[in-house]
Amino acid sequence: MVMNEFYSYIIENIFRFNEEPFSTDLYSESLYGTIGIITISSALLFNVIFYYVINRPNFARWWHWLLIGGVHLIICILAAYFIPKDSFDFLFFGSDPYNYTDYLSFSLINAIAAFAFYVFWMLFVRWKSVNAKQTPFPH
Amino acid sequence: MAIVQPLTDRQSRSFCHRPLHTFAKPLNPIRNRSFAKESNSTTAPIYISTIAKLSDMIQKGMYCLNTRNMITYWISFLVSLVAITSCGTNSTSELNRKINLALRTHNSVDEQEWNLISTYIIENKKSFPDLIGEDQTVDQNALNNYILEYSRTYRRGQNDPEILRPATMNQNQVKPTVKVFIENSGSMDGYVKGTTEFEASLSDLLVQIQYHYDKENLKVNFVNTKVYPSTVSEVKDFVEALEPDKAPYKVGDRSVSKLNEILKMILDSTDQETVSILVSDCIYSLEPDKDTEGALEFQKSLTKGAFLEKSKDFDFSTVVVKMSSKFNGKYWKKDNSSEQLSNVERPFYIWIMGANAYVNRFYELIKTNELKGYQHSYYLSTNGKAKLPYYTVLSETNRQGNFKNADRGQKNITSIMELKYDNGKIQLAIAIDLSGIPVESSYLMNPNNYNVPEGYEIVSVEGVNRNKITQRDFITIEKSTASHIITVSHSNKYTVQDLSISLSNQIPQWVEETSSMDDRTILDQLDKTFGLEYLVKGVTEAYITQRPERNSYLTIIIDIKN
Amino acid sequence: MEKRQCKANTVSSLNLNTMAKLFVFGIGGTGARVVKSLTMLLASGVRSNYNEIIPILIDPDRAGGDLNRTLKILKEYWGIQKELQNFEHNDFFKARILTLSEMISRKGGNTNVIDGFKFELDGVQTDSFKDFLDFGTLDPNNKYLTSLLFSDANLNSDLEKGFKGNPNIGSVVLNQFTKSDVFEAFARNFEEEDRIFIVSSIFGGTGAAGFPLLLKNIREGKVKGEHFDFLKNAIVGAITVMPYFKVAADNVSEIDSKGFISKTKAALHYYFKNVTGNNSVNALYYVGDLVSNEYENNEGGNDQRNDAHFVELISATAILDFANTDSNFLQTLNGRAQNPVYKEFGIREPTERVSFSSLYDETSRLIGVNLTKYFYFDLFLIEKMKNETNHPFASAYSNKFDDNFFDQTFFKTIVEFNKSFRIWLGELHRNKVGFSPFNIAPITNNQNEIVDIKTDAKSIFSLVNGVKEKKNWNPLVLNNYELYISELNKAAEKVGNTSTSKRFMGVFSQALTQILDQKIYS
Repeated sequence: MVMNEFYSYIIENIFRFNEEPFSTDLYSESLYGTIGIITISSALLFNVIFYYVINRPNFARWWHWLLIGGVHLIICILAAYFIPKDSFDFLFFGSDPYNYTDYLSFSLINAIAAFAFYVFWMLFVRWKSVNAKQTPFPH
Repeated sequence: MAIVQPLTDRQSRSFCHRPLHTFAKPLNPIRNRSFAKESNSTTAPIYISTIAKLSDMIQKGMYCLNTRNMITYWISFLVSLVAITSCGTNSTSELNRKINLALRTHNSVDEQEWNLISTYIIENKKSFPDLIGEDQTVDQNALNNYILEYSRTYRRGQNDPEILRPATMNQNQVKPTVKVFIENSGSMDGYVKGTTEFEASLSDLLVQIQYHYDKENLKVNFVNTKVYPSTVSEVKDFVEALEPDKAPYKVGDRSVSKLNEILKMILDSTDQETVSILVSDCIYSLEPDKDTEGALEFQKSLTKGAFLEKSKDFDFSTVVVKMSSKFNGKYWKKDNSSEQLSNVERPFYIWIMGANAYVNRFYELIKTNELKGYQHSYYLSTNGKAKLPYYTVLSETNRQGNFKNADRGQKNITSIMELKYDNGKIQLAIAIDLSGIPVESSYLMNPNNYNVPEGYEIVSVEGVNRNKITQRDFITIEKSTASHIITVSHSNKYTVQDLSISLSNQIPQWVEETSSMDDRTILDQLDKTFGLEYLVKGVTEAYITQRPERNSYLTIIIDIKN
Repeated sequence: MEKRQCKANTVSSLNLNTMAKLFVFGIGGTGARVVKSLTMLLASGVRSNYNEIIPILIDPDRAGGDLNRTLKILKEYWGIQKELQNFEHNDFFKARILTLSEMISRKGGNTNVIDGFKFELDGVQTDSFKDFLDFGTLDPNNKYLTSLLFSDANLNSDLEKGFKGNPNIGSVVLNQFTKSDVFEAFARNFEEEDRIFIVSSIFGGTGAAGFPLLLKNIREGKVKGEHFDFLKNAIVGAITVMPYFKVAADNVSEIDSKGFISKTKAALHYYFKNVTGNNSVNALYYVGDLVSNEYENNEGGNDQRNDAHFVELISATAILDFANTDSNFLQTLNGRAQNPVYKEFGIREPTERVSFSSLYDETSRLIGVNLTKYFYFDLFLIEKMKNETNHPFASAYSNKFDDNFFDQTFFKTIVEFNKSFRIWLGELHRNKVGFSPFNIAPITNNQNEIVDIKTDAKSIFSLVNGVKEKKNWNPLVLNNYELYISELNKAAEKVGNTSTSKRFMGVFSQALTQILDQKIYS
């Protein structure tokens, strides 16, 4: 799957998280694809929520945007932790060979990527927002 | 006079309100999946607890049928019921998992995976009544449909998987004739005197042959200068009756044993539907005072010639099995002098010769390494290149330095890239299925028997041992047929080429170790056979002559990409 | 004559000569206060068909508090309006207020006339009336006549402070206006489509005298011997403001409000003959109220600073009514008005506190929404503007509303103007009859003058008295200042990039239209 390749490239080559055999298992189970879709689309979604759904003058300071980003991060962290865990639980018939630290480090690296995507989408999404187009920094 | 105290109210009440746990066994937790094969032992305790509760209920009878108890009992009953049914459900989900695992890669079920699934079904017959055929084996069509059904339901968007079923065994395989030739020249007497491992292993062998090949296909002969057929009604009796100085053993001219002539005779009598077995001490007898080495060389060439001649008729395999037995008798040395040996352990040999397929099958059916006194074996064959066995690079076990899988789409790791050296060295382990190689274990585990390109080094070859493999790697190979782990290292002083590992087809170590050039001091070399090396070399050279290129049993390649 | 729709963007140098103007003569203290109200209304964007208005204030009382306040406001309006010309997104300060000299110089005439809004009366600076008359040089017969007509007190009165309720003095002194260069320039530059409106009080000194005098001279159409037919046939409207306050009794002061009524009656008699009787005005407006209000008795000067009154506001609406009346209804022939109209004003029911709901629809339609708009505009400026510059409406455009902008003259002028606006609202509120369209509380200083107002409401849209806020019970919908800012942001997108001043007013103007629509008026 394209997203699997793309996102594995991002995590492994750009963010340099490559723990074998954990990473290979993530790849072969297309978990990169799943997590990638979740991360990238939720980054877009939360930006849209902040700029167009919430779209309030009193909720337009840079820390408000960061707050929504924080919610997004939490969701990505949870997803990146539990989805591989569940998948591997199923795959390895309950005897998961990986430590919680493996999942946690993947999850945290993914969180960094998630924030990067959050910032990325912000640059494109905010222009038409009526009340928040100056957030988090003016043009 | 005892005063009978009536039960106080309190006591009678406490009888009613006995806590639940005194009679009910706790339900086993179903969800806790152990790594070992899941047993269905959870059903037993649940049945017991249910029955216990019911019987208790009945016992109590009219005493304590208050609402609270009724409800508790019914709830526990229902829970047990659920537990029982869920047991069945668990087997199904377990089966589904296996199917899912098989389909996960390449959307196909290959023979190996099919076998695993079938095995599981057989073990849990009760849970899969629909999948068991009339003969109590897996109904192949039913299983096939089940897998297709599974794929269509749970793996939407996928095409139907390819399901490869094992080729059904040819039930009506023609059984070959098995001719057993027991050398009974004088030098063999020591093996049959009394009760020896010789007799034990021979007996065992004959019994197995009778079982697998039917009584009427077994022909037993004695051989010295000629072949003397014998009859066997009961193997046990036959073998027990073997003694040096009486029939059926004592037959023919037993003063001479010309090994090459014996071999020739046996080979002549072996046709394509025959498997011939020779039991002998395999000692060349030389002309005295002749140059030993030269004489042995001469004998060797005769052996080679005999085998080459035979090879013109049809392709055949030869297995040389070294056994050991108690020996009580005369030993003739190379200079024809003799020495009396009592109660010593001496080697003897079982040769198996015949068409490739039959010998292969024989060797599979009858485990010579389980015969009493077995020591070593050596399998020679003209079989074509063996199918590439299962092998995969392990990602963590025995690893030094680092590398990455170059082709993640493949199920097995057979090419790697981005090698990183640690202190000038990189080391990795390869799991491989060597079970199809007809060589003995010690041969496989000797690194010297492998060829690798320059710069590489075989560090060790070990059997698959759970404790020496990381958990993750073990998961990779536990469902595979990997039998051994080959650990290879490479030094960065050399440019790296693709790693090709060949298991060379050479005369095993034990032959050289067992061989002796001078048996005059026999007591010092009781476990050796005079001239064995030459004998085996003769046979080996015959095989090499037929197939010069067949110098390795298998070759696997790990691509190194950059 | 076709009805002329005056739109700001039709003004161009080519059309200068065809741009019809409205001359507003404000005579005396009342005139000044009415013109002030008019200015406020125009600032809030009340519609006037005559988009160019030239106020001319006539008052000998140079230091007159009301006069000076009005002049200041006019000047500020003029300065603000200059930067907002031809901008369709903005409704505030839409009408152009010109000085007479500006108008004349625009047409290429010489500008040897007042460059300001006040007509300087000669000879009133230091003289007494006696000196003005050159009493000393009169021959004995004239002296006697003069003494008959004027009391000693009159003759000795110091003209610097106006005529103090003596129209007999006023009529003499003001005659010089009609003989001045100013009046001549005015007559010369008066065009066919122009109109004239005269504001005066009937009970005062200056106004009562000046109005008929001015009228007579207009209808004669002759200045310094030259005939000006356009002037003679001009469409003239006037409002004569009848008593609506009294002054405290004071033995020292020459002003005695007990005489207001009698003087009114006398003046009305005169008007009957010389104003209405001879069809001099095309539209005459009357307004007044029960006299319950009592002001301090100040004879003039800086101290004659009365609180703004509702009646003055209404008088201003009369001017607008006159301006918006179709020319078909107002025609003059040979210096006589054809079918003159006479109008009065009333509210729904008697009340001490007038709010928008007390007004009849025509009035509330004319001024209600606009005043509210301007009120909220001012509210935001004082409460929030300085702290909300990070929102898109302020900072997302190349012309930002930032500290730079706040330091500029334009903004500072607005701030000053708005202060006057608030004081005006406060005075209207405090007065009797009070005009309290908004829920405000005046802030006074030691001399009990109103210096500012304050508002205090949790929901800013409940500040309009008598009008319920349109509440939306959905908690997610924006409210209060959030809604305000949100609408500002939206309006800013619509207005786009333009000069900062224009953008500023345009954004607020557009935003407030939407806000009021959503929250107050439907």
